[in-house]
Amino acid sequence: MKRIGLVFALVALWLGGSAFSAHGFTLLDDKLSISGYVQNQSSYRVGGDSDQWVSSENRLQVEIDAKLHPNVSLFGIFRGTYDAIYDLRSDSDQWSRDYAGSREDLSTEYEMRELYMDATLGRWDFRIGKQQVVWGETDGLRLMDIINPLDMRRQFITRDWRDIRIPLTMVKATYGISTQHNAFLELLWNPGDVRRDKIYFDTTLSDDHKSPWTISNPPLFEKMQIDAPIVIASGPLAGVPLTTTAPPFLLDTPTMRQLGILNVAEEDTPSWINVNKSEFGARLGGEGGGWFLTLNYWQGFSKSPVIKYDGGGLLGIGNLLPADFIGGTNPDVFVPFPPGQLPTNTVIGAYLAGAFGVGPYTALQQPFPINVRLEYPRERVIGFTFNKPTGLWVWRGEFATYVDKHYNILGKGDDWSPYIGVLNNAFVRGDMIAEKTMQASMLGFDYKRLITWLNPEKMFFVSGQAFLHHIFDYDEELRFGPYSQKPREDSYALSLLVNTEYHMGRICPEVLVVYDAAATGWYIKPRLEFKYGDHWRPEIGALVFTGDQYELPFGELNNNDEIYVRLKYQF
Amino acid sequence: MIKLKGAHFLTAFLMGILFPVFLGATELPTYQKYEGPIKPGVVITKENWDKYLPELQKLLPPAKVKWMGMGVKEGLVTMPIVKTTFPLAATKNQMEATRKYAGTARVAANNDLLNWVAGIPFPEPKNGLEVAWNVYPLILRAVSTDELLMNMKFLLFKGTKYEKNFTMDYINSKCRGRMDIPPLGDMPDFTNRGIAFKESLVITEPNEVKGFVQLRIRYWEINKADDSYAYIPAIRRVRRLTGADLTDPLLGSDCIPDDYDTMRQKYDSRMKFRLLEHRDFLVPRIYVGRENKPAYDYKKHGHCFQVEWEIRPHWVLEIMLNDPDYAYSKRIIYVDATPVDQGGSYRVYYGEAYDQKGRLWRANGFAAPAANKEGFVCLFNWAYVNYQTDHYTLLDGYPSYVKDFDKIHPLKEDAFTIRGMLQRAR
Repeated sequence: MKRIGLVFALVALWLGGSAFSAHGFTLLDDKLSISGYVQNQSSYRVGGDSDQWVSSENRLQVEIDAKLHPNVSLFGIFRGTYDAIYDLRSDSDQWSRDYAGSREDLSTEYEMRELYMDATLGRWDFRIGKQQVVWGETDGLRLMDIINPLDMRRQFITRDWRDIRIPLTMVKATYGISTQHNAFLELLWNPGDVRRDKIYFDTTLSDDHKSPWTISNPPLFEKMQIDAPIVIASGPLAGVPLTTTAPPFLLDTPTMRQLGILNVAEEDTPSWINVNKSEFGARLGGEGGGWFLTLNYWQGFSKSPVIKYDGGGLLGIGNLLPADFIGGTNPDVFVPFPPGQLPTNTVIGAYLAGAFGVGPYTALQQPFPINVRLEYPRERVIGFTFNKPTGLWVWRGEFATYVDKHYNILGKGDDWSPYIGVLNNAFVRGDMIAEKTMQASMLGFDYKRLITWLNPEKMFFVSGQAFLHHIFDYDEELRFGPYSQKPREDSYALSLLVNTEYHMGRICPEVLVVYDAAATGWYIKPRLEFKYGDHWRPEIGALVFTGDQYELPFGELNNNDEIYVRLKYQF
Repeated sequence: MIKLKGAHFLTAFLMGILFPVFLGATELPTYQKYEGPIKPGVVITKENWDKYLPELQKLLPPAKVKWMGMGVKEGLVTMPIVKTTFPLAATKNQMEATRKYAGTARVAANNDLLNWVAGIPFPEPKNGLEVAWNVYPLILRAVSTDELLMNMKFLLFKGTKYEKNFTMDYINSKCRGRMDIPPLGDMPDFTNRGIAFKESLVITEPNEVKGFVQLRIRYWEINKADDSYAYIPAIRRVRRLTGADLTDPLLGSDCIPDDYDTMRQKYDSRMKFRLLEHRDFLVPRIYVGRENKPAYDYKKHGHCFQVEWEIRPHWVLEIMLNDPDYAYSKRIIYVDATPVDQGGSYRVYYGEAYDQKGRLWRANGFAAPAANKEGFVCLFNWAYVNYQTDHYTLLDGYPSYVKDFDKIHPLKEDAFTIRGMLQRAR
């Protein structure tokens, strides 16, 4: 019913759009203005097993601006989304098999995205309500732009970030220090509206819920495969002893979740106005000698999770082993017959078989399921930014120090046991989470120039950026993010954006190229927008990803290349 | 023999002193009064356009002949000629400052203006460079005085065919030589840092660029580039802009920042200034008071404005830019030559810009000047012309001088800061 209502509203607005002779409309002697747009964006996937349409997303966005008083105004954005692909391809076996399960999550959404009040009191400006707050100088990657999480469920990070930032209810207060030096102090308080990045990967959604932009299983969870002589107590495999490494006994994550062996829980969203869950930030900005500088501090919750063991499984088995057999104090190493060293996995087998006289099967006193939880720990970020124009160039820089960034940490490296022992050892150690200091830096430029032989009427805008992320006190066992990717001690990336306009601003080409030097991954987004008339804004574009498989941000999306067509009507 | 040498020396000395003065004096061309058939009472229509065309080519700049020709011949507008009037085109304080500081300003060898305090620097200009400084936007702008708030609508046309529009709220403020709106004189907080002028604009329509805010801080020093910041809604943050955006068209229009006020480009030492002519031109008359704003309906009038025209004397000022990296090679500026003591204030009427190949490219200027009874001059209508592509951008709006002046001025300083941008950001 909701979906039908939204579709009706979209169509009514679409058809009624021609009634607007100008942009939007105003009421109450220009004190209330309403504008917005209706658009359809359809995407055709040209990567992967077979080409197919993967979205036909219709969006209605209405923006309301009300001037309540010379010093007080109200602003709101409503957005409704209906992805018609779930209905258009409902008869397709391919669609039903691959992506139909994500209908509940992605086909229909509507919400008041932003709603805030602006008020000015002397030299203070207040913005109170659901809003986006953006810091920093960087395009395309996030260094100091960390206050609002991102909704990456549709086309990952390739969309305009203003459209995929998740607005938060916050209080922002800006104090004007000096008009001569453009100096200001911005204070930010989020009283507990803590949200997280939205991204789908196999572990949070089973195969039944895959969407066209689901990310593969985190490697960490991929390692949680059972290869032990145990008997499943219930489910389709009830009573079957699992004793080999061959399927079906080698269970993958979705199967383990289906069987109830693995439970993945997510940290509860904090209750509203919980001071203990508050987030705080401050930014000091000012200009001097042509340099514009900001100093930034933010204390909030990580937007992407770390995975925390929450009980169950085979916890502690290593500790149960006699010290003689585990090489002294290290439960990860079994040394029954010097000089050889055996992995704990082997030890587990021996232990479960009763070889040490304490079995058999007493390990199962630590029962399944294995419980893990996605946690979003509190983190602090300190940074500064600068920009400085020189002639045709503007130089930009951004430096963010994540003082206590949280990572997952594994028991041993990837070359160790690929099976349960890995996880077990991490559990045994009891600290799957490590805090490290991470430095994220960007240096970039903007350059604008008329190149008459290419475009005699409009300048070319060229923007380049170089990124460096460095983890202090690096550990090979670190993993990060919902994808649990292995970070590098130093990772580099480059980006280049070029655009111009032809035909008096009516044909607008742009290309964005991002190169992840560390993972040798590429992301390229060419697009062409047409701006004829007051209302219609068609656009065609493409998303191209290349790179090593299973590496975010780009290699993992190697099969997600798309061509899209957008038809937008603004009012 | 000694007497003869002395006579030669005296002759040489007098030539050395007087010849440059003589040269300077000859830089002011002789006034050529128009005596043709176009006079008050005549109405140029599509029926008689061709008949009057030879006369109109004498009375209008080339770009204006082309622009108005399309509108008149298609019957979108007519050109009624009225008797020339001289409404107050400068405030009492502007005139007092002009008289008080007359003779103090001078021009340096590098074309820079020295010792200027306030008012028109050269009430009796002797050459092109002095005329140019009289109309320099940081001193006596064509369309505003100490500060301005203006609601503008820009309408874009290809030929006579309407394309699209965008609207903005625009504010600006002078920091030097303020004469009418407090604080008067210089604003030392800013002038001590060399800042001469500030402006900000907010795009209010259409939705795709709504909320774009730009802040520009202009320095008096010739070689110091503007500080320019923009709040860009697409990225939801403030971005520093390069100085190069001064020659980049705004939102698909024919308007570049260096063409604001007809010519807002800074004067530098490479430029050469020369007065080509002093003769009568046909110009839109000044409309006093918002109630007298000429009606404009783009569906009816297309890319032209229906206004009344009068004949006024103008100087034709040529500025050779001598900068191969700049968008233009030269500018022709049409400056009202009505003497100050006869009700003139040397406002710029129109300007044309030529590309690096010497072809007329862009032009812009008054389509309907506005004023209030106190002599605050601004505009109701302005037109930007791309002569080469027949693309036109019309500006339709009204300044704060003609509505709610007392409620609006003086403007709040915060509006010209990054904090002010963030406050207006959406």
